[in-house]
Amino acid sequence: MDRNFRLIKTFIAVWILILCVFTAASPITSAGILDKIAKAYILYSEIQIDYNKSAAESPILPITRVKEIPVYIKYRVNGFYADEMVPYYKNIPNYINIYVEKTPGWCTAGILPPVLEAYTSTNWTTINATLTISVDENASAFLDGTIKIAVKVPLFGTIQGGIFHGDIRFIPGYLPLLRFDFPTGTSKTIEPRETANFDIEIENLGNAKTEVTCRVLDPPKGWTVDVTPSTTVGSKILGDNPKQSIQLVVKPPYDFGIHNDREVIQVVVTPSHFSDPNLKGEDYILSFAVQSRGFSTPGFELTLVLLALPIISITVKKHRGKENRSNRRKV
Amino acid sequence: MKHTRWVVLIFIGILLVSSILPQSMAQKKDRLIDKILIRFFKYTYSNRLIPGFVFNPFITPWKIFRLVTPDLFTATPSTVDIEYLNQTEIIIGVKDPETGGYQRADEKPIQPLFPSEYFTFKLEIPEEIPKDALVYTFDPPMIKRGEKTELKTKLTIISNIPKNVTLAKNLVFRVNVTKWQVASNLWLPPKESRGLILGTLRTGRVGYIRITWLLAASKMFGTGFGWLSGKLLIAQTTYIDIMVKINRFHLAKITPPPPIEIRPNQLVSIPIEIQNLGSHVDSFNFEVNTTADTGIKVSAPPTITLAPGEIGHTSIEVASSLRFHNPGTVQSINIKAYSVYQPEKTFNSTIILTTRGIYISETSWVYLIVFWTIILVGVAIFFYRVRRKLEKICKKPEKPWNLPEEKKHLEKLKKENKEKYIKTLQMMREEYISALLWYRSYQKAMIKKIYKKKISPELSRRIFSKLNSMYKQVFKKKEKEPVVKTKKKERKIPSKIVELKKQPLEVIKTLADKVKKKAERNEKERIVLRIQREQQKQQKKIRKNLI
Repeated sequence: MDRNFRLIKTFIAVWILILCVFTAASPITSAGILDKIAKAYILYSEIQIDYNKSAAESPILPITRVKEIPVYIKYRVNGFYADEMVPYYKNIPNYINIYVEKTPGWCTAGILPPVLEAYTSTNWTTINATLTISVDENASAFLDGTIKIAVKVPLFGTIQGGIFHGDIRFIPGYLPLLRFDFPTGTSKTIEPRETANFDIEIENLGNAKTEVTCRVLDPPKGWTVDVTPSTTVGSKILGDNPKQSIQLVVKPPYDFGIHNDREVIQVVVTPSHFSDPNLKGEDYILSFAVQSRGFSTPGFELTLVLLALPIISITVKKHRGKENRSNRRKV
Repeated sequence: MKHTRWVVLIFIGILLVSSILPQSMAQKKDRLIDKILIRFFKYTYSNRLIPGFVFNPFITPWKIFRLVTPDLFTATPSTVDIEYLNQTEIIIGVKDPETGGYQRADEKPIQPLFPSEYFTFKLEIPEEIPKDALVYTFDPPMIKRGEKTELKTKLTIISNIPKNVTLAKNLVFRVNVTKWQVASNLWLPPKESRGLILGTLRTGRVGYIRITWLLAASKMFGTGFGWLSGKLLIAQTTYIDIMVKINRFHLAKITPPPPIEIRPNQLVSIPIEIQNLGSHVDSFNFEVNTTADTGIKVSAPPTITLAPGEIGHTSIEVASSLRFHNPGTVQSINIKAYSVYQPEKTFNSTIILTTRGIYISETSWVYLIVFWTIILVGVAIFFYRVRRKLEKICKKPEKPWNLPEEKKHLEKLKKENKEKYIKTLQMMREEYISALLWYRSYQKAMIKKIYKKKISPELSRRIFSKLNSMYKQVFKKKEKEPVVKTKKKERKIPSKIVELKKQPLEVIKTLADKVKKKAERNEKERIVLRIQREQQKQQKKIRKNLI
């Protein structure tokens, strides 16, 4: 009986002790003993955000391409008793969140996977993620773009969490894009001695200063076609004047005779990057119709007239003289 | 009691340690306090009864107790191309790093505290996409833990983005994966983990969770999770971002004008309308080909650059054919537009063109003028030469009233005696007519003489017979046909000639001789008069010189 009584007493004492411990250490009591002790065991999370630089630095072509940049999240814990404590944590993974915090207005980015499993270690452990970037036409070519990514580490035991930030720099590529306007139209009817002048207004919608090269495609035989061979057009994105005018001059054949020549003149316009001519865009084909109608004199007609006048006068004189002589003879 | 004492001592020790903690933080590990703390830490993790009982995870901050383990969902592919009316498939699941495949839903055992666990999926579509523009399905829409299936679902997106909606910028679609758990009785540890009296739950190295479970489950001493018993809980929410690339697709609509009628030799601009129905700013090149004859020249419209949805206006230049007469030829011009970035995909349209009218080229006009000028010049030369020749044979008689002497005489008569003047003039006219008659008959006679000399009668006969035979051969049949006789119109012969004709030939001859003689006499008189005048002039000159 005594034994049982003693056992009950012990049980009650233990329960009281448990309650005391709970009361002292429970979350409700902020200044619990174990919480205070836990401060001695605080560990700190450290995050390093790294990425594949060669992938990021190769220019990403706007609109058409989506680039995947491997991102390496390096994680480790640090603290006064880290070496002693980490072995007790190492088999329990922590789950860290990764997300894109900020992108330039002309860029869309996403990162996967959103949650990473990180095992606690005092040495750096690397976790892989993939950042996907796409760039629109407003991205300035070859000027750095920065994407801010954030890694959120939750509190894990006494391992302190936090939000860590990292920048990923990348380079948008060159997007050549031109718009044309023809203030003087694309067709003209002229006389053989005249020239047809066409104004071509070029607007650069691309994302860099652009060198525009023009050439005439198979000029018609006997026609003289001249076009401004090249011009440089600024980019609106960089605050330059994005418009520039070039001239196409068409001279039809003007050999002697009647003309009714109709020809289609084709001009090929090729944009390329101002500082790197190898970065070329697609060919734009501009067509113009010219009709040359009318009579064309040989050009030396004045000389002919000047030559003909004395000849005629000599002939007339001779003829008159002949007549006079014959009359005299008759008489 | 022995145990109680130990507990009390440890408790006091802890109190002492906690009081000296702030100072110890800055110290080195080889100090006593560090050693105590490290040993204490290790002690709390020991599997023995008292540390397991006292330093249970509910109250020990450095111990980790996790009721829910997150599942690492990811999307494959992470980037998708979306296009008008296309279907995109994405797998959302938990990857198994060992196999490379997906985890099985029955791979992890069902937790006793949460007997039912399942995942639901939802696609969050960005605001810029209009409602109903995308239809999406998850297959399966829900995955239940414990089922004999892979922990993955297939997301299918059917895009129905209206053509007038421009989505130039790429988007990010967010998939919300929610893990739902139904909690059982959380007041007590799971049945199978309970001890004989107090119940135990061993969770790896975390330690023993004993009777303290009840306290931890209560709001007074713990977090109060016990109150979640029997409830459906959201255990985890994962957001998976999928990059949606609005695939650059090229589409254009060409609106041709209604059928057009043009005239030959015209250069006309035919306006056409083109709309960019593609996803991005696009530049379209054009090509034209025509079924029309080669005479027509067509210039394709120049390159046009349009924003998505923008309607642009351009034109085709057509130089119509140079046919002399075109009654209304219908021709079609096929326009082919293509994006400079994708030349193989073309957008076609046709323009119907009718050419009607008459065209006479400038060249024809010039040739015609040249031809007629040559003919006229030829004729003039011919007549001039004939006249010269005739003049050589015999000169045409001059009008007597135009001779200067006669003219003076007539003027004098006109002033003095008008009757005499009229009579004299009448005489002169008659004289002139007779001289003309003679001149003509003389000409005819002379021409005959010349021709007779030039063409021998033998040759002329031969030529005549040959021509006659040819004529007969050609018009043999025609001759058989009845010929309608037509009365020949009689030429009116002047009365003087009729009278002359009535006279015998000798009389005519004598008359002609008379006229001839008269004309010769007149001519001689004129010459004499001229000589006299010249002599007078010379005399005057000599006199003047003498004076």
